[in-house]
Amino acid sequence: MRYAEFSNGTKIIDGERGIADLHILLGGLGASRVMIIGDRQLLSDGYLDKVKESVLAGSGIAVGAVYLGEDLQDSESALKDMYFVYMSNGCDGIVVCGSGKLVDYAKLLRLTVSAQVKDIKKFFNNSDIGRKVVDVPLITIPCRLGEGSECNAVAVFYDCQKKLSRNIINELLSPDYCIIDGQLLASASKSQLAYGVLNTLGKAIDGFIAIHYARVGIAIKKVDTHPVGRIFSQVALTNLRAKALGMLAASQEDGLASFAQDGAYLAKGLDANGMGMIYSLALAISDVKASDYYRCLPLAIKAAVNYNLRVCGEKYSKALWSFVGWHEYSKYPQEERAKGFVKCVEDFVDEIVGEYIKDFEPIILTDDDRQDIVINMSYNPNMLNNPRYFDPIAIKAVLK
Amino acid sequence: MREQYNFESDIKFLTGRGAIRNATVALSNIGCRRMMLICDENSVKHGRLKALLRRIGKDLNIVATYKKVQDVAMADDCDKALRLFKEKECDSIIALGQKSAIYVAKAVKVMIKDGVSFMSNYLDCAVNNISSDFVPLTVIPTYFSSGIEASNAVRVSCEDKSVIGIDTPFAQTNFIILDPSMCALLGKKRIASIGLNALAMAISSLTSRKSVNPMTKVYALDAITLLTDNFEPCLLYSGIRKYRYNVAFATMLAGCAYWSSPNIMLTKLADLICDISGADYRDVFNILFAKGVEKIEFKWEFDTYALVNLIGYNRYIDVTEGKKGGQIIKDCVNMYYAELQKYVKYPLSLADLGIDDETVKKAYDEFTSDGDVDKIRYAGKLLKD
Repeated sequence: MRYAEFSNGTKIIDGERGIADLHILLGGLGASRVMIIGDRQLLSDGYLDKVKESVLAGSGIAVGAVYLGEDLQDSESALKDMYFVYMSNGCDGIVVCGSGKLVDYAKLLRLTVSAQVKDIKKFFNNSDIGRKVVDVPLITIPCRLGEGSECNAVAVFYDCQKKLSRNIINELLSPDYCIIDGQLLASASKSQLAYGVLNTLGKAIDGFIAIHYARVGIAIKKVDTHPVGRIFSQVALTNLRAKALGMLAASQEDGLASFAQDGAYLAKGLDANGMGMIYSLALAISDVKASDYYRCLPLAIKAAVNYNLRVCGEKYSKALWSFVGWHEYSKYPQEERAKGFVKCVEDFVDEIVGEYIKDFEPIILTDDDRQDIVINMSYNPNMLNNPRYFDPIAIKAVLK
Repeated sequence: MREQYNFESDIKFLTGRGAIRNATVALSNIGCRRMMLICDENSVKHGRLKALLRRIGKDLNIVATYKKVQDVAMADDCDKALRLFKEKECDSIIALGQKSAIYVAKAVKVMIKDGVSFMSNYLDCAVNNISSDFVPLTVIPTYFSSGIEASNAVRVSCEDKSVIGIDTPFAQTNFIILDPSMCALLGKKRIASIGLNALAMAISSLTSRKSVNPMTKVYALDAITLLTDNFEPCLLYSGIRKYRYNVAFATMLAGCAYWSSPNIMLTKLADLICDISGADYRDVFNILFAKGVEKIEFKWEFDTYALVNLIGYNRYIDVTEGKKGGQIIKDCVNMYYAELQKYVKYPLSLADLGIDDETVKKAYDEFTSDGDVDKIRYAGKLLKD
């Protein structure tokens, strides 16, 4: 009976006319001068022109600036750049099209402008700061599958001083609309799609564990999953294996968009409350090893499901039903179901990595790395679903 | 071709202990300065209004209160409430209570938007005015709610016993506040009726053939999960507020799911029988739904195995090898009904509700008066067999 709030948040539009209707959505949100954020690849593919045309199709809506996010490693100066471009061109709305990182920066831009707080560091530990002062409409168009950032209220910011990824949670980070364009998603490589599947799987497992084990590592503000939000993971995990394998084998627009839609709903439902353990662990590994986040995902998924095995027995058994279907579920003896889920997840990850990801190089961790990962994770004040209240020794053990 | 879903509702749920107190901040944030409270006589009688005012009276400026709504929402109530709203220059509405109070509040919202002064004239005079008169509507359902707070439907009776039914997105609720303190103590029969109604709505929306907003799936599943865990304990220990609250929450979610893709024929038939006989809507709906599950062949376009997977582990689902997905759902519903029959005797047929054959015939005739083949087949299966 604990108090909780839930609202629909980002509206997800999955349809063929999604991009064409962009000007209608912007008009409805009250934007008149829009900043389009994208990257060089999308510009050379002509996709940004398509977005620009659609924005200009509305009467009274102009494009204030087109910003190409390139070197986003230096996060602070990238955000300052964006802020300068946005303000100096008198923009009053944002359309972002690109990878999860770019979307995160657009969301942070919206947060700083909307709350009129320029220093992003003020948001690191306190999600209460920042009341809406200025309305900044934000529409996201993800170009990669299963990112999640296109419709959640979380943004990751790389802290160059501490050399770790900070996650910021704020209601203002939640975009107004998310447009899922199957055509754009289909242009990604097989490896990228496979990583997207793993990311969705990670989030779904995170969500499933969060149903009953919502805990916060080092809490500034008490975070809890909402009873409505928790069910998203069950929907996403259902038949995920079959759907993902079918989608990867066929690579058709419709299958991709439907999978992306499930992932987007999952992110909307789950990440409004905080980040899951798999997500946080993969980020920590990527920071420590200075490697791509997606490359760290297989290791993080396997480590996290094992880490929670002892505590989540019964829940894992329910997760098995959703993941493999009741036909296969009923073949497992009752006492084997929790372990069966871990085994199924590990096999699925191996299958995806083996078949669909080209030249995958596994991450090798030393003892020092494991220690650094644990320290890195302790900086994450919003980590959810850690039923063991952040046990550093156990985390180090499962990473071996 | 994929569907485009851009009609997701914007309802914000504030739930749990202290939801009413926290709502004051949310309402102030959207600019509610002069509020009108609409509640039913039952809520006044059982002290719900007093409890509400004790919690928010100091923080919110409630300038008008209309508390004369009875069990059935009347057009006259809507007119009076609208007059009061205008007299006191209110800018937002709070509805407290059961279905009738919520209908009246929604009707007032729609009347303001369309510039209509008399509800009985609504269908003749309203011109679907595109006005900027936005009146935030907050609903605080009590235990008697049937998920109507999440719907876009308005159903108001006139003095001449005719019914005005409107279904418009402009009647949408903006905030739903579910506070455990508002979950009244109820008898077992009532709890069974409410819980079964929620279950019927959730399953009905999951098996709907219409292309629905994906959010409905989430709401329906959550309702089923909550009911599986709390319905039986709620019947056994109805004094424990936690169980009552969880069943009320399930009702609300099931309502959200059902009313975004309602089974129009079932709803209309149930409404018609209730109008003629005066029986409780929920009981009639439950009986018709259970009959529908038995009688009507499932012709779902989707894989019923996937539905069983989606519902997940549930002790009422028996997945014996060789069973078909549709059969599993049927058995699940029947098992649910059979289990509950152990604790409470609830009506299983229309005759148990005191509805005689003549009334049923009258309802059948009226329902099929337009000669629609689908309606004749549907009503025939539910009423004639």
